[in-house]
Amino acid sequence: MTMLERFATEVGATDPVSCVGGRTQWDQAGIADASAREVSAPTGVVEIVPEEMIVRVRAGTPLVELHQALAEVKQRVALPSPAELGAERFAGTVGGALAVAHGGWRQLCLGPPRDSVMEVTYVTAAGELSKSGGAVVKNVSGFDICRLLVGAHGTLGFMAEFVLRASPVPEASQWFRRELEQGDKLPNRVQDAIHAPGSILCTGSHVFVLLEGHPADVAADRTVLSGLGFSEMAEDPPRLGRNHWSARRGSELARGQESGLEFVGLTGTGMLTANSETVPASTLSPVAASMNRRLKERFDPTGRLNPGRDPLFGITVNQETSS
Amino acid sequence: MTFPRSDKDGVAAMIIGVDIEPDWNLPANIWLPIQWPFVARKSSSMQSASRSTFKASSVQEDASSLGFSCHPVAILVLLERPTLANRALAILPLVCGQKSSKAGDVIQIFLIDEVGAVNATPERLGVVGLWLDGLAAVAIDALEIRQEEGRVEQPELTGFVSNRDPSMAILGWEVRGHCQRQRLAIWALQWPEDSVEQHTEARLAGTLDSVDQLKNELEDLLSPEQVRSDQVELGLYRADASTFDLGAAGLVCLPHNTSDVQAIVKACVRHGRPLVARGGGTGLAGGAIPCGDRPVVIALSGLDQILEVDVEARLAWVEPGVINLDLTKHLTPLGFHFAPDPSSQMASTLGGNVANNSGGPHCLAYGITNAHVLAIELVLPDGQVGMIGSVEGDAPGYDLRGVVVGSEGMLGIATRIAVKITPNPPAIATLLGAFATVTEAAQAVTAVIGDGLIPAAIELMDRNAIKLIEDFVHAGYPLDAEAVILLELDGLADGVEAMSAQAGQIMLDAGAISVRSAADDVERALLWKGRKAAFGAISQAQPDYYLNDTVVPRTRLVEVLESIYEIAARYDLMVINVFHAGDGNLHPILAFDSRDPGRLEQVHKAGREIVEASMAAGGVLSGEHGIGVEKQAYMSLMFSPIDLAQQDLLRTTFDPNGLSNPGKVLPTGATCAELQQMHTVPEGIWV
Repeated sequence: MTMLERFATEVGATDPVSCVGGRTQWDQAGIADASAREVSAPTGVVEIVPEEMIVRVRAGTPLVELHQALAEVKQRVALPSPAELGAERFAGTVGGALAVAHGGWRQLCLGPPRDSVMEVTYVTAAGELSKSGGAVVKNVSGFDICRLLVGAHGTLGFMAEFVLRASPVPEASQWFRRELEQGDKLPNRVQDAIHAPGSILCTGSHVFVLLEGHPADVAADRTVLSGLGFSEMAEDPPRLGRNHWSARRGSELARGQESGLEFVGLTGTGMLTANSETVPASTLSPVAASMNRRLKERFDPTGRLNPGRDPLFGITVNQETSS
Repeated sequence: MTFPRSDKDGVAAMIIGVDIEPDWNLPANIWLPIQWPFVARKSSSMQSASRSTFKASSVQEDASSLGFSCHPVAILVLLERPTLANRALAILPLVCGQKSSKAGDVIQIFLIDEVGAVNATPERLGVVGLWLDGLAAVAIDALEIRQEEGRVEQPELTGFVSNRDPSMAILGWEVRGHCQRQRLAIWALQWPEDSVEQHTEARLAGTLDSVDQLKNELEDLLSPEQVRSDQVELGLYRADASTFDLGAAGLVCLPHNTSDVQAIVKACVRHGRPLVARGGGTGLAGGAIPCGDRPVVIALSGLDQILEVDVEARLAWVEPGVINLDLTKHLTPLGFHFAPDPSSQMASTLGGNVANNSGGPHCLAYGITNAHVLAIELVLPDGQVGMIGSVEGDAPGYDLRGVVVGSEGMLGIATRIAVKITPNPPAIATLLGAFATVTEAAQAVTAVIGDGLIPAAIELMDRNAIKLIEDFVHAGYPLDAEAVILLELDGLADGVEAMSAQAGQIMLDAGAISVRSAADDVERALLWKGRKAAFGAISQAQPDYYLNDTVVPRTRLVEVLESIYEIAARYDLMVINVFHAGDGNLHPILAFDSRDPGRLEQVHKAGREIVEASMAAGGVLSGEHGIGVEKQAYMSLMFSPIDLAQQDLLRTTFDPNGLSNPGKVLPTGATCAELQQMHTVPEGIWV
């Protein structure tokens, strides 16, 4: 019996069961039912194929182990690193990170975490192993259930193993910083001036820009940033907050300032983060909310997977007409 | 203009093109015996060279020769602009439908061929095998005339006649005479009038009443003009660009907005009638074919507005009928483009791109459609309308947007789409590497990627492709090479220059005979023109082709290519490889002549072996064309029964009634594909 099969057997088919990673984001998406039996996904980096830029990794693998293994072949994945989230949250697992699906600083260039998931093997509510996707970079074969599982907080199935897309670590990488002046839409000006920035973070007081890529490109963009008043920084930019909310792309700074919170915005992604428990609520259309409920009812009819968890916890359903 | 026609009854040609005149004086006795898909268009490069080429006079010149043929009706769609392809589909029935007194007539229109600038042209569409070249002679004749007049380009005017049209099988006919009469404009079929009527009655028996009720209801909900039921019009929408032509539409609806789509869907649910959403009809896997109980085809080409472009938010709101390339053209003055660039981009719609999760050469660096769709206004299969995804960050809850993209119209119909727009790169370098063996070329691809470079595109073409392309468009590919790599890098000028030198050196180290860089945009356009004209060029070799689409790990490219050559040799088939090598996305094309007895069956067998070889190497069934009806039967090669049950669970969660694009993707029940394998048409089937 393989590790995955053992995990499926352990999950079983009848009683309420919670999948536990590093417990570093246990406060997300509702309150877990403490009476549910706890299981943990298998661990280990199974395979790294640098020429294919893919990595096969089991869901219980600590994030740090995955990052280290990839660093040895000068590659990386679009999952957060310790500096981005803080060491205590970084103690988590690959499966946990993808169940919550919060990205890191580089979402602007690497995309959200779910975009790097090529294949998922998971355990269904019936305790059976199932697979979605494929281990190649381009695949439109069948319905893409990976998309549903990533970010689902383990409510539709327990993810056991992933094939993730990796990418080369850029030759050059440098953060820059500039103080924000009132009324200046500096993040947008950076986005217009720099062809492909690695990241543009904004806080209430500063804008932070990451240049990554070929050294010649970084050198050219460095000149542009200097012209905009940026200077190099030796230390890391601010960590992202635990809680997320949304803004129209390009208006992250304005929405962050309106919130009155200590925020970090990811310019160009529509994402804002803060450690405050009172971040503005995200909204959802009634039809989308109803589809969320139906999916849960169909994929987990008895509600045994991660009871208490709800990806729509704290979400406001807006009043869009749905007749 | 005068309408070309012969003096024989039932013979006419209809021309839809540059100057569409709704009040053309069409002959009252026009009737359309069988599919005559003639489509021509002007390439973008021709527009400036000879703007009047396809004006009425030259059309007349070409079409006048139709009069030499005996009995057919020709449909020529001259597409000055790509969008006309879609409009023609909408307009044609309105023009000819009222004139046709014969139900059961069938026309099919295909976009064919491609020539043009970078990103400007589609693959040759609609000729994925099974289509015989009937009008090539016109193009040749016209070429001579144009050359005398100093016009440089060959008009892309070709016609195709289906030898596998089921109607022909019923009548016991076959397409004959191509070889003997190659210099004639088209070859003609005679269709006895009485047999048409007789056959039509049989076709329509049994289902007409229920369709009529639905039709009446829809005409009240929409307008009579938006609900089409003439057999000619239904025939237009019964197939897409794939080889499968056994679909049958019950009605064709032409919605103008989301409310129309919602009304149609709700009416279909009330009547238990399946429905199929359709964009440009350029899909190669049969995803837009109306399968099952004569579905209502919802043709979305009328929803073709670019609603909003927000440069600050880097997004555009579009309707689903907007053509991919039209969006990029719209964005060009702003310095942006829409990154997914399927080869059909001058004809395929964004709604279709969403349904198929379309790719394209530049998806290597930029990702496929799913990475570029932010939000979708979706009409669910039960008729509810709502927004999924978000233009504000990541929508909370399950990623409904992500799972709807690529679901081939089975989870709902997109009526508005928010897409990311991508800034144009400041600098581009295009390299052409020539290799003495395909193996070395494939190894060079692996070496480039393995060295940490991520080019915008890496395309590989083998010797057969090079030869055909050079004969066809003179792209400047080296004829002494066994394979070429077309590699593009983009970004800032200095980095592009450095990476270009690096990629060139890697190719030389991998054994390239030569590597050259496009000196300017003109040369770059020419190199890409060759790549994108590849599928059109294949008609030089054989009348039919079957284009497969699988993905294998890049490191297994060499062995899978060797398998493909071996399989093709074993079946004595010409194989042409033109593909997205950087993604490992193979597009082996089997060229053949379907008139050879048993040939099609061999092609199908060879196709299956290619899929199996790809799967054995750790690949997947499809990289960008989708499953549709083409690869349903192969799904079990990739997925276990449990996997498929999970996919079905997803499908039935969205569509409990199973009415939205039935008979696709999941291998259940009798499908169009299975019917297609039959050599006789089952009794009672409406064809």
